[in-house]
Amino acid sequence: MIPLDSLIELRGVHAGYEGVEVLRGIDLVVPAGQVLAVLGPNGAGKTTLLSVIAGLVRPTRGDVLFGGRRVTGVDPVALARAGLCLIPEGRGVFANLTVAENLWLAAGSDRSREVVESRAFEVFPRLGERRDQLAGSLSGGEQQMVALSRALVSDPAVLLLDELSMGLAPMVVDDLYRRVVDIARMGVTVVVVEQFVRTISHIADRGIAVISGRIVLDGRIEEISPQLHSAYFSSSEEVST
Amino acid sequence: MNDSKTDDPGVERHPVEPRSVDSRSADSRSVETRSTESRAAEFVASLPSPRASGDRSDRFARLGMVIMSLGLAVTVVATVLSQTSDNSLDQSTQISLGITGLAATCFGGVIFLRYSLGELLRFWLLRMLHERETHRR
Repeated sequence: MIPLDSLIELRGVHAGYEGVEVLRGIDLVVPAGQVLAVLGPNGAGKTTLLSVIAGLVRPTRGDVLFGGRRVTGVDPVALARAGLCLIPEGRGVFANLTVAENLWLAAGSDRSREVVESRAFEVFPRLGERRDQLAGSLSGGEQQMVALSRALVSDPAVLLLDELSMGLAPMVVDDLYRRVVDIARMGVTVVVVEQFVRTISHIADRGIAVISGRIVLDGRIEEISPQLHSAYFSSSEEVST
Repeated sequence: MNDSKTDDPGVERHPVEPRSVDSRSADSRSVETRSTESRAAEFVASLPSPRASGDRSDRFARLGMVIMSLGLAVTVVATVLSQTSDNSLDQSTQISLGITGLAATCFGGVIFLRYSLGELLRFWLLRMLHERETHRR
């Protein structure tokens, strides 16, 4: 029996890069099917947190568990095969491949290129119109659609999104987050990194604020939003002193 | 950032509908819908153990190295023996042994490359692709 109340669990996770500690003792439990918003200023450790969950960065201390099973140090490729999908900051599309070719990367023995394309184009009809266009020539929002549809057709159990809204107009962001809501409604556990609480407040079930590598706020978005400003400012004072 | 200029002028504004934890029944489009529970169960069931993935590659790389070394040793010994033998029947046997050793060396080499250098080259290729993509943006 899978403990649904703790599909993703981080226990006392410390992590960093080349001796610089970025995460300093993260304890986090994400129930299955939840949409969790990870908020925080630049350099707080949000992306590192996602990388640790995705297995791309190995914690120096602490453990990562999925459904109660310890997965610290597991090959990220194996995690991706199991159903964990990360859309990195900067969209992760191949600029010199066409839209169709980018989507084919999600094809495999269990799903053909045609199936992948039809699923993606049904959710994002605009991509169908640009099927043979180079992904590098698409707008930022369309590139994010390519990344999202690639995630969608891989039928993930856990979706990690890193700053989906970066560099996009608010209306495009709204449109993309509506698709994220659709994905979440399919029972997918979603962890979204965002800098701006307003962007994510409508879709997240819960939010955490990460500041200087620690979780300083945890709760429903409407509960933590009033405290975010003071948390951000206290962190900048901490840095400046 | 949210006030940035749009690069998607054709997109209509559709405010995101507020969503609650219990509202997970709606529109699933053509993608097959599974419950949160079954999705999570399948995910956890297909997770490898922390040591399994690295161990497998290491084990095969070591096996490849051993086969390659043995094959090479057999080839060298068989070659030396065949050159020092006056009996043509013995020489034929030793040449056959040498060819077998050579085949084992190749086989072991392929396994070694697949599970050791292959991984390194894959990351090297990915890094090259990533750098090229970054420069293009």
